[in-house]
Amino acid sequence: MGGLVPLDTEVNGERHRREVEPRLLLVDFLREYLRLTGTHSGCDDGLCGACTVLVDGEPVKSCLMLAAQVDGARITTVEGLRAEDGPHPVQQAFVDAEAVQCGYCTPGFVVAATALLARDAAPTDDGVREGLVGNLCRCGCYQNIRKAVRSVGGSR
Amino acid sequence: MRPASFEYVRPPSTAEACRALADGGTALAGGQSLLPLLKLRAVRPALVVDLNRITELQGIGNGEATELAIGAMTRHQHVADDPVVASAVPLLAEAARRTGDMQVRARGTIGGNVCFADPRANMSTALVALGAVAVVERTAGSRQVPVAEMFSDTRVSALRPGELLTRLHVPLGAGADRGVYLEFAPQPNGVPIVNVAVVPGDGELAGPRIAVGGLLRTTCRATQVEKAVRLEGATSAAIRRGIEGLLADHEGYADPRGDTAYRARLASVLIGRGLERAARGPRTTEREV
Ligand SMILES: Cc1cc2nc3c(=O)[nH]c(=O)nc-3n(C[C@H](O)[C@H](O)[C@H](O)COP(=O)(O)OP(=O)(O)OC[C@H]3O[C@@H](n4cnc5c(N)ncnc54)[C@H](O)[C@@H]3O)c2cc1C
Ligand code: FES
Ligand code: FES
Repeated sequence: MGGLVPLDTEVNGERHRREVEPRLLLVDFLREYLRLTGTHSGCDDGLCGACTVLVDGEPVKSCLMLAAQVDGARITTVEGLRAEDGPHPVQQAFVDAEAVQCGYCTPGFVVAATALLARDAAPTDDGVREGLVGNLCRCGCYQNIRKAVRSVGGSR
Repeated sequence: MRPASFEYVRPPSTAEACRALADGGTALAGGQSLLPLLKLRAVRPALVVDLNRITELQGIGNGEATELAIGAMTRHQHVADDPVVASAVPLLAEAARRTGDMQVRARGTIGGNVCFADPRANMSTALVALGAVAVVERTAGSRQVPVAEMFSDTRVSALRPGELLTRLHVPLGAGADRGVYLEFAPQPNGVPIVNVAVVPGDGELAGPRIAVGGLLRTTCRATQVEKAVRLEGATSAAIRRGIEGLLADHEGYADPRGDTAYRARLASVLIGRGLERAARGPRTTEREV
């Protein structure tokens, strides 16, 4: 049962060709097969957003997607946001606003915030709150996360 | 948890998807409801039929001025952002905007929301009030089913084995552009406890159409409430009597978030507000929670 399916995908600009079991989750493909452990697994049930990655630019929870489904797609994980010359503006904003305590939620927030800013370049406080309701922070850094995201929005 | 093994196909067309479903396959749309069940092994399909490559199932068209055709694989975010939906059926845009979170809306589909048959599903409630019709295909033909008749029981759709939901036809006119969607949800990104959609009638003959989710075991058209309101006016007593009538005829829904009596109270408040706003006209995006 469950013959392998071909998977040809680009992750952070690098092409990967594999044969995978259909039941393999995208989050496990990224973490276990590609060793891109920046994408975190929190609730493993679609509720916390720690596993958020971009699939063809769209924010998705990688614990609710099969690896086989990204055949032909372009994936960006938190590792792939970084520019040649330094951190992505959203990453830098999280550092500057001290929007990180334990850091477990941070990769998911950073990727989701990047997607939010692509939809709305200068979100309001409510815009950030509503845009990021799919991401949870157990340490409760919400105020600083909101400030971080708004500082990027405001600087545009 | 991780899913049990299954075979996986990603057909490029509706016809091929129907053949795979006829072979006993389970459709995979946005996966936002199916993946958690696969991981819990609450469902263990032998064959998963991924619909995501079927472009003919995606998108919104209004070739006909009298209705809007929405492909089953149209994502919630697409519905929420679509300018035609926003002007012709704003309650559907509102229901989509309030479904899950940004990530869920990027994957979840309107067809999956209906086929999952959760009694609290946002899109189902809006579609029932709008009088939408589902187009269902199988290898041997197709049939049209009013969305209100798409639900057999809680999380059991009326689809027969081998059937694929391909499109939703939303009739325009008859107050569709003045309808409202309201919900009471404990979390901004979770399913509501109760939701309500109201589409005002267009004149003497037709009164408002009301749909309720989270009250009965399936999303339903609240015909008893419509009747009570037509006869007695939109008073809270009439609405409550209508809801009692509904509960006398059908089994109520209950879960740890609330028993049926609580849901009935929420439904009567939301229906009252919905009728008031639908009658008043101008749209509002004010939050209910
Ligand atoms: C964190 C979170 C929050 C959510 N919040 C809400 C909310 O507030 N309101 C709400 O309404 N929903 C909510 N949902 C559920 C979400 O809307 C789902 O997208 C939807 O219920 C299912 O759609 P899907 O496309 O993901 O379908 P899937 O999960 O892929 O499929 C669901 C079921 O329908 C069947 N199916 C799907 N499409 C078809 C088709 N075209 N033909 C035949 N069968 C089909 C599948 O076989 C499966 O049984 C939430 C989900 C999550 C994870
Ligand atoms: S791990 Fe995917 S949403 Fe929590
Ligand atoms: S910083 Fe610890 S969970 Fe967010």
